Amino acid sequence: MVQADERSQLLREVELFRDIDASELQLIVQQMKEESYADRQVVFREGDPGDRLFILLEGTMHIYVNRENQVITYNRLQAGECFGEMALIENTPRSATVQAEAPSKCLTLSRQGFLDLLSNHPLVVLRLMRVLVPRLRSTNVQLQNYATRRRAGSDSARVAMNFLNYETEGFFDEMLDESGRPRDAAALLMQRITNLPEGELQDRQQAAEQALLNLGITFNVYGDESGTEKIFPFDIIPRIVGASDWNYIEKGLKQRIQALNLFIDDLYHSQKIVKDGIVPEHLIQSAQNLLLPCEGLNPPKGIWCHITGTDIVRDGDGQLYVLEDNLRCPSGVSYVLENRQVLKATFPQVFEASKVRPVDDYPSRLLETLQSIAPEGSESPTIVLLTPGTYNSAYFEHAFLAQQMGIELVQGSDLMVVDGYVNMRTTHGLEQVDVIYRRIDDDFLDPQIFNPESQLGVPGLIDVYRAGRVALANAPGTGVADDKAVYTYVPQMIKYYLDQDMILPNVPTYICWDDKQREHVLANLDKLVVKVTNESGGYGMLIGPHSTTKEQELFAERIKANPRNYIAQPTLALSRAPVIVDGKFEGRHVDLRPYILYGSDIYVLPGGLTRVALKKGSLVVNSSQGGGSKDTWVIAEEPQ
Amino acid sequence: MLSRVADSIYWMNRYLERAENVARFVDVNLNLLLDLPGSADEQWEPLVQTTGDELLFRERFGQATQENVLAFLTFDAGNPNSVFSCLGAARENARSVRETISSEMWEQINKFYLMVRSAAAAGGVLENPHNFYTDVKMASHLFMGITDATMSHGEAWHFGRLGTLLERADKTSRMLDVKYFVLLPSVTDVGTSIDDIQWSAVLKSTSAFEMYRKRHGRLAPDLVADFLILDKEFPRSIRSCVVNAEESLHTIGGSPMSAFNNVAERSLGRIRSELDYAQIQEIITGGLHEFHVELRSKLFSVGNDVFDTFFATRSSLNSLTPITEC
Repeated sequence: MVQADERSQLLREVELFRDIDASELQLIVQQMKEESYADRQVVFREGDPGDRLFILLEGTMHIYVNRENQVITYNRLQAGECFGEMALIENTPRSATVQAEAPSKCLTLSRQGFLDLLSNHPLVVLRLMRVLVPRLRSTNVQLQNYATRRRAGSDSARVAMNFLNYETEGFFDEMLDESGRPRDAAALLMQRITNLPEGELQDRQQAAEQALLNLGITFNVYGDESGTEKIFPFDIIPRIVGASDWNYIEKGLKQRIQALNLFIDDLYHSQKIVKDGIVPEHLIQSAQNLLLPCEGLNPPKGIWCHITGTDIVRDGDGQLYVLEDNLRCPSGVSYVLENRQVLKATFPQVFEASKVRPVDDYPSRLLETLQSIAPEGSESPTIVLLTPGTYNSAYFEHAFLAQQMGIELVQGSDLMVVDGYVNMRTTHGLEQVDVIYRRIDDDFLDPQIFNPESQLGVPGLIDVYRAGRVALANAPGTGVADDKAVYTYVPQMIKYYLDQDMILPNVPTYICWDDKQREHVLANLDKLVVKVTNESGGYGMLIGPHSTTKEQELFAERIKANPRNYIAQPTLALSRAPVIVDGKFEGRHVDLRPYILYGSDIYVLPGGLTRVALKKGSLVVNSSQGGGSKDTWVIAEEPQ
Repeated sequence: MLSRVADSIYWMNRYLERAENVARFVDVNLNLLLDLPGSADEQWEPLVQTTGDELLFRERFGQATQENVLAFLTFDAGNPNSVFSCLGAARENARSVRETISSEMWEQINKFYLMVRSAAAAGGVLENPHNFYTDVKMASHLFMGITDATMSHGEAWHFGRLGTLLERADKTSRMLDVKYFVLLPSVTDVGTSIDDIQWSAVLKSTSAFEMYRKRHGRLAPDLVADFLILDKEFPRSIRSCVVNAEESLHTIGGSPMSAFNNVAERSLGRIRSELDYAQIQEIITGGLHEFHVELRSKLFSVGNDVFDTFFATRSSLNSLTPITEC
């Protein structure tokens, strides 16, 4: 402990107190407290309340701020100097962090003591100003240097990755406009990531991948005996969706789902839309996923498609289109939730500053949706998620959602129909099940009604469903609207059922059974994308510009043999987003799959799964074909 | 809870406990070898015998050399009871009940598996095996700790505990048997310093050394056997395992400890009361090895009774890989 006399002796050396006489100084010293700090100990942090003045008696102090994980040094102080005065004068939180760089000792004076000192000793004020002014000047310079570095990206020692050589190559880029400037919604993110120190971004990418591996978010590589597992490739640079784009998407999707649901309900009842000549009868009759056993079904509240994952793409001119609807068992939402969790840990500050709309409440919303369709009279319904089992590629998602909702994850063999109800086998006998969120296809649901070979389903399930004693989400039979030829008629459906114009357009589509359209398709196979009407997952596709003459000839034969089975669309110049490739940014094509829940009302999860074709130039984003994913940040409001 | 889920949790825990105990087995032998004179390879023969997979070993490896036995017990995917296979099976079971166990448990089991798998792929681990087996034990302990601290102690947890304890009782019994076999060629060593060293190695391998010292002080074969078989408090002793397993079984069934409601409760209760009233001298007189063989056979039928009582409503993938009896 330094004695009082000794202290005033020390204070005498301090610039600030030079004009104060010994007896006065004695009084001031009595109000002061002594504090010791270990090497590396933080005295206070930026943002802490400023309540005291510090006089450094021994040691060294480092004064700095942290911007985007870069330390900007304002000053280093030696014994005899004071700090902490700014916050006292302004009565604001600390504007910088102070950390000891050696074992240090300070004397501290309370804010009141400091203000008294100033009002009683005008000369101290003058001295203080002499200290303050150069400090402020120096701080300004430091910040300016930092800002210059950041703009120019010239500090190659610290900033390793930037967008200076990034090429949009004529594609619409989700992050940058044609002139290479960041789009408004992405500006903050871009600024932050380009200012990360060298190697930092790659480190964070690696950490994120390790986190996903530890979480076991992996898929099996088929045919690999050693049981190699890979994570679904993931790029840490989020895809940004601005608020106005999102409002447009959300409105468009709500309209679309409402119409599609009315369409499905109509199809399995009176088929008014066919009778009124809007949708051709032969199209419906020939649709593979039209399930005759569903005729006359009345799912609770008339809702068939409770969970939808619509694929949206953006063309070269920036226009958004719906590519397909996925009204059966859309998967991928667990990646949205896990990607978000990983990215929050990867870019915490940017995330917070960006006002990203949350996705974490999806499981609660899904649970509410499932509860809302429970058969009448079930007070607290038992809800289960029906999975095909651990070997299914989406098993992780099934387990994840069941866990997040706190419901049982069941396999077909866990369920049985007894006395007209669905029951599950438990260690204490049978227990009734009220709602089944099924993640197996229609065809496998009930071997008595659909595929008799199915081991995954529950014999007798559909009878119980028809009797209204169990609810299924989604209802069986929704797949008919996934038919790509039926898709072509969605604009007409919206007009017919809602009397509205379509908000979010379809991709222009040629139907091959129409003679004129087929001729056009056959004459332009090298430019068009040809798809089988009932395939998904990126299979059975011809991408004209990327195909050989031989492949085109093969498809021409197939189309002629079975025109109903094919549609064609112009090859879209899918928009791109930057991904990290070998230590630099490169543009890759992306799509977007938002998830829509239809229970008491329609809810669109703000964000969704951004899939990215990681192969250079590739337009196929499906995970089975080398696709990966990104987190999708829907910005709550455009930055000013 | 779902029968399938109960089944999977029970086996997830059994497989993890088995992996940990295989690591302990190998460790006890490695420690014994350090202090034994003569050819080291002879001492690996008994280990193969006590694991109960002797036939399979002969078929796959032939000679019981240290290298072969370590490979068989540790990384051999063709041995369903190797550390590697146990972890694979534990993880598959965990995967099928991911929604029931906590995320932390899943993450730990997954990391554990990845650690063993990368050790298997890296090679060279078996040249300096001690560290690896220590890692295996610690990862298993970590899982147990995470389970206790993050999962509700309800029915599912009790099924897991039941699996752990039945497996542990079986393995403690086998570990005592290793010592029995190792001692065979050197009966004259009884009471010598070599004998002391060997008994302390057995105790250390069951993490029992310090607790034994506190309980009995001096090292004596009958006291060690007493401690590992009949001690009421040591968590790896056979009696303690059986008492706690019985408690879990009754919690699951909801019946009082004084009565039994199903075959599993009856058969486990019978073993427990035998152990309650057993005297170590009687056991030794009757033959320690014979006692262990009989005990393990009884524990084996408890496992079958648990299956019949709770899981049998569906076919179980786990029932395909029972512990082979020796």
